[in-house]
Amino acid sequence: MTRYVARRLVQMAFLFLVFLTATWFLLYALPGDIVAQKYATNPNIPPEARRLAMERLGLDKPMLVQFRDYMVNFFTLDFGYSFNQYPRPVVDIIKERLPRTIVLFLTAVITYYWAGFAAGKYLAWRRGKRGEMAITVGGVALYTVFYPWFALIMLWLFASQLKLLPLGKFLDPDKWRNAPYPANDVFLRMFWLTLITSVVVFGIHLLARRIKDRTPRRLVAWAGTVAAVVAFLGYWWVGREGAVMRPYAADIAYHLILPVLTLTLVNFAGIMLLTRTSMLETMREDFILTARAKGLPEHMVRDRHAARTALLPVTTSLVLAVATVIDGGIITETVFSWPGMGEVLVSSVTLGDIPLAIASFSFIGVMALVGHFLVDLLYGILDPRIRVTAHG
Amino acid sequence: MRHRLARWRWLAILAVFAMVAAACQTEPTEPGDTTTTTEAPTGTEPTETTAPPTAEGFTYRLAIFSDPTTTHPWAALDTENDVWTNYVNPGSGSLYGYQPPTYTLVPAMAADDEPPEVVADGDNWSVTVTLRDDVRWSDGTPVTANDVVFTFETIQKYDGLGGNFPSLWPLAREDDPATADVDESSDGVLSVEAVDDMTVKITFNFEPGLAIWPFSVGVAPVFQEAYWRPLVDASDSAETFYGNETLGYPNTGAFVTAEREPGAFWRNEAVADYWDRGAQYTVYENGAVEYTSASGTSETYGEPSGEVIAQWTEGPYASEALYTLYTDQNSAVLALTDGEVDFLLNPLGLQRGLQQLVLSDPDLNVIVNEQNGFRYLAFNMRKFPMNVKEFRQAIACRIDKEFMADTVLGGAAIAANSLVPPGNSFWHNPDVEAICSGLSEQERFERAVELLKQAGFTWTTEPAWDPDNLDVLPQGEGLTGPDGEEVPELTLLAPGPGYDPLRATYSLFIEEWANDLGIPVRAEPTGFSVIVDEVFATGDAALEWDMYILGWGLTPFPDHVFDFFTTDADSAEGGFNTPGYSNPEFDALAAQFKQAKTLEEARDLIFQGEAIIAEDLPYVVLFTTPIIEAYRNTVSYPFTTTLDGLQAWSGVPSAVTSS
Repeated sequence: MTRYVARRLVQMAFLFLVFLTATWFLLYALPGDIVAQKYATNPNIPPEARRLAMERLGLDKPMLVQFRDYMVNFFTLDFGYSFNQYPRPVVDIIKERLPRTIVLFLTAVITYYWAGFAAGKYLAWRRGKRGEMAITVGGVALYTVFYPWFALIMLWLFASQLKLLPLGKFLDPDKWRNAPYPANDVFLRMFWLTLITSVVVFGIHLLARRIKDRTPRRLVAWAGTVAAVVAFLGYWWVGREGAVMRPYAADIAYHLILPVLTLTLVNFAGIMLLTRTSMLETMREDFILTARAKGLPEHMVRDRHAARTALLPVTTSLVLAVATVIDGGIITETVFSWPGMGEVLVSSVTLGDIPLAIASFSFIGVMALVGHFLVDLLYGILDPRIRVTAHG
Repeated sequence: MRHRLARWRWLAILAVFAMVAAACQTEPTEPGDTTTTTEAPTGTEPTETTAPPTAEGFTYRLAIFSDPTTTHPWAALDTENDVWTNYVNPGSGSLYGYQPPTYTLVPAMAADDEPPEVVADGDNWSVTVTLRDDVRWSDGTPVTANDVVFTFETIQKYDGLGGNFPSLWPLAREDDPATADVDESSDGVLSVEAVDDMTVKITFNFEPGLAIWPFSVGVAPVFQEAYWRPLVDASDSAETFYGNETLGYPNTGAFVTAEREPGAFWRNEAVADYWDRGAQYTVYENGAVEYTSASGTSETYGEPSGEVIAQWTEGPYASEALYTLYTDQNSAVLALTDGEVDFLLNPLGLQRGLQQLVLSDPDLNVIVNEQNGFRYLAFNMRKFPMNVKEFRQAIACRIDKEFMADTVLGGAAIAANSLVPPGNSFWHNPDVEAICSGLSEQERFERAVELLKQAGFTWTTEPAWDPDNLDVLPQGEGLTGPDGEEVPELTLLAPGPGYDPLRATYSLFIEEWANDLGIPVRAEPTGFSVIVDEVFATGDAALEWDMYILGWGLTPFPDHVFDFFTTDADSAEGGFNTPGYSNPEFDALAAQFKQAKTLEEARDLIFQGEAIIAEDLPYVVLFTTPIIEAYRNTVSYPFTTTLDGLQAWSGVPSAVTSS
């Protein structure tokens, strides 16, 4: 196992280097450098200002020198300045955008995976019933809908007509006037607290599983969960900082509902179908027949035996989705006025802001590589057959 | 048991939602929850004047479509120069400024009605400007000559800075010995001295024309020494200087920057004791301005004639300007119709598709103005056959701009002939006519053929007009130039339909019209950056393209008429003259223009220059576009007709009123 992990790490490092090199040259090969795009078409900016801009950004150097300088700086963790927002370091821009993107897309991914898994489980169990037909047709229709149009319709319906939810944005400027905290601090606090609470709840449930008797097991699991949730809410209501931050966090949460709902409606069908297929395969297995023969209740056969086994492909898909969550989504961010990493990626590439584009792609590349690595490890842990094969 | 648990689960979820909902209801005492609802005095309709407004006012809400990147006004003019940052930054102040809505040059910090003349001063030339004694920075301190000196010295310290600075504050530099007699890039401001607290002397190392004084240095930014000096002293480089957070920096405008939440909003607060509050402005049709200051002193800039087109008492009436970011125009229009914002700030105005939505709302007003810019077809005159005047004229003759604008583009474009749009009335030359203007399609075709024949072009198959089909039949084939050189296939670069459907469509029609004549033109819709990259390439790469369609946004002072076409501005050498046009007669006019001392003299030269360009056609000006804007009837403006729309004045925050 150790050798396997070491070999994978070396492969990842090499792959990352290739990825970085290819990304740099692809971006360099794009027509129109940023100085030409920003300055050449502005007659108020004389040629000497353009030359100065080229020198400042190092674009007057030969291509290979630029590449060498960039790689040396990159591996000394100096990601450089944004060409478009010079002299702002690219790390600053990523730090500004990343929390917003993570909170929105992680919430959305978890929500639509949960919804998709629950619906898929239901479909497989209710095969041939009217409910299956309705959910499948509805889910697939939403899955294939033209997303920018659908997102606008959601905005129009829930925000403009029903006035139930806000019209895009991630906060209400009126509520945030003279706010004591920048929005990013609140985003980060929300993210970390939710993560810690989730990990604690997960841990409690893992511990509870060791209790053999059903009633105390459930009691521990639920009591632990309630305690964690109370602690979470207590922070926001009673904690000194939390109480001040609460209205702002609530405002962000309120603005989160519509984009998350939209992403969930559009994406849950993919997970639903994956779960359904996986469940149907699992339900043909002998151990399901055995479970039924033992007289176990249907819901227990479904949730404990079939669904858990069917979870394997869904879990791997979820890990990969979480790993790529930081690249955001340009359409969602644009329609819901939630500028995040997706907007950074698109604008940096179209403007030729090479340091910002590469730094953003690198984060995504690292997360994707780590995600794949985790998936490989998870397969080994979740599926005993794979572990046996790995050991040979 | 299981069902009971399920019920509890739902109860728990509902409880969490209830708590989140409760948290959303912020108490009125929470910080940042106070929304000012007191409205400013009304009655500032365009044709009326009112008593000076009070400091209390409403929140003027504007939508922006991209995130402003800096609070630093110096960086906003240099490295972070973009329209959104400049919309929200109140700027700083200048000696002279442009008067809305006519762009007349009027005094700002300067006291003299007319910019003082430049006089010989030993080997150099200088201008002495007296400052007004009533202009105040937003912190209440007076503007002095030392602020102007400090601004210039800062630019000197950072070696001229970049972006807009070299054109606003050009620094005098040592002549390059090799090109000393023609090196114009060394021309600039030699020194700025404070003669006394209220008098500043600006010395040039050359005799500047209007383009430099007053239209560059006169409108260049001036920054307050007291605020900026410590930051400049602590910064060895412009990069370090730009790294400072400068919210609330003093300026001479009606608002100061107050708050910025990146990715969400920007807020400016009204200056409580704004020095110009209560001043009265009356603007006449010919651009003349009658001004009565807050203290009651009256001045008239220009000779008033024609109707009064705008009249107002300066505010601000709004207590704050709140700029909210919407990254999608559709959602911004929904925000406008729902009353979330009063006005959409966008340099391109509203998309035509959204116009109907806005027009159908009784609470919204729609205004249409002309853009200060044009789209054009350019020829690479460094190459055959584009270097033949009659060839360019023949193509230009075939282009029926009115047909394109009115019929093909359905009114989305306005046919244009002049390099200065009609909205810039003082500088616009109404006598510039497009070649073949007013001719029918058949007449245009016949005239184009005649032009090509005149130049000595021949065909293997000569094109002809088929009166039965009312079309060209047969099309020309085997076109050969006067020297027997066959006309090669030519590429017409144009932005793709995704970027600009108007120009993409235009390129296809030009292709067809040229092909009728036997000119093998192939339209190639491509990326904007691809075109920019090709046509601004220097050295031999400047020979690689044939024709292209792009556009320019312009400034009120139309020095572009010369900057785009003089020999020394050849884009192959890094300038803006992409066609590589070279005409000694035109260059001589350009040189005179740079020395022109009066507006009338400069205008006459512009008119002469335009006439030459209209004949030689390095560019064929094709069209301009209207800028469509919408605002809620909860606000009103002292004027709505202005070149480039209200966005050109950042939504007029200092004079908008709540209605």
